[in-house]
Amino acid sequence: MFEAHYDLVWRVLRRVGLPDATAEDGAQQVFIIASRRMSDIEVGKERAFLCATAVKVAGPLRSRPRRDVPVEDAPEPVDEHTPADLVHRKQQRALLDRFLGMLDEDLRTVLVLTELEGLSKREVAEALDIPEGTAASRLRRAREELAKVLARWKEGQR
Amino acid sequence: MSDELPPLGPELEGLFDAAKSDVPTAAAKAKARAMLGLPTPAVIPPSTPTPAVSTPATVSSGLGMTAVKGVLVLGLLGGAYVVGMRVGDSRAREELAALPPKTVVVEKIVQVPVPAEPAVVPPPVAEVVDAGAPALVKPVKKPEADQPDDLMAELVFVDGARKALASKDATAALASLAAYDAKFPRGTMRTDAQLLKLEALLLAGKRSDAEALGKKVTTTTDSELVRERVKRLLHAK
Repeated sequence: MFEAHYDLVWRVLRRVGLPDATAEDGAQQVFIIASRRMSDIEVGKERAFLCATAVKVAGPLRSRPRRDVPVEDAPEPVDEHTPADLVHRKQQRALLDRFLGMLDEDLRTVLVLTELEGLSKREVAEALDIPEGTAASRLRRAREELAKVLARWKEGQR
Repeated sequence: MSDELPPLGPELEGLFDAAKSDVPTAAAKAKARAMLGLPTPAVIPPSTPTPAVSTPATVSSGLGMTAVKGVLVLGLLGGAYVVGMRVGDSRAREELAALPPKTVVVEKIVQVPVPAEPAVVPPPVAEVVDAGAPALVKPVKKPEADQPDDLMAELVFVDGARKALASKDATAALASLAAYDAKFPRGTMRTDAQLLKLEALLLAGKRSDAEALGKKVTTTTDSELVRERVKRLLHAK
């Protein structure tokens, strides 16, 4: 489970607003909880369980002061020889984080789980313990809000 | 998710595509593996219940308590299962079913001689690196003690309460949960602790307190499952 889903959990934690180092701590917590709840996880619903746990774990971690990252753990600086597309992707991710940060937490979470991790409406509903209709309406609102955020940003770029 | 949704548009799709390729560093993943007491994939075959074997070596090697606790919890509660799931969740479940009972594994652990070079002892954090991973890891200064420690500490109280309840000792369970409340007012396991407390109150015959707690939990939680659980507990006893 760890090997199959660690990246997903980390990515969800990052995109719901945790900084790098905190997302790593959060991912560890998620798998500790998963190991304890193994008997509760239905076959085929591992992703939904992990996403739900990640969202739950992210809550208290958001209010946690940012941890100083030791130099040796700090992300590698972008090498001057890094291919341009890697740099571009990094910039795109930073922009997405900025946009997502302008959404309400509920909308942001649904958007991350669906658009980023490809969870179905049913999986999102299960993960967040909300009705499917609520998940669908949150996604609709999230997309609309995100489009507005993008439009405002583009306006500011002119 | 739905055909009726407003389209994301190519620009936002591009941003999400970029985010899909975002992955943690090999060092971060290795650190998490070490913290959880999991072996690196290149070292241990998937079906080998090795985290348990590593426990005595871990203890005797004097590594940080976080790693030790992680190994113990995972070893006792299904660590081998987690390791096995690397090849596919369903297959891993089958592998788990084929494993000997957990308690037998634990007994074996104590008697297994510690190898000179233990293969799966969680090493100091930054020394664990994926085979073939880029050389991102630098020499270790000390293992980190951070948030997972808090969770481990929370689990001690919650597990204590759970065990006390299993042996029908409501007083001990309530004491453990009171200590948990005092120490972790906003803990990750808070909901679990509240549900256990409700159970303990019912066991102690304090029905009105249990109902008051149940009401508090159901009004503050967003989870329908938790509300159902409260309802079931209150109706069961």
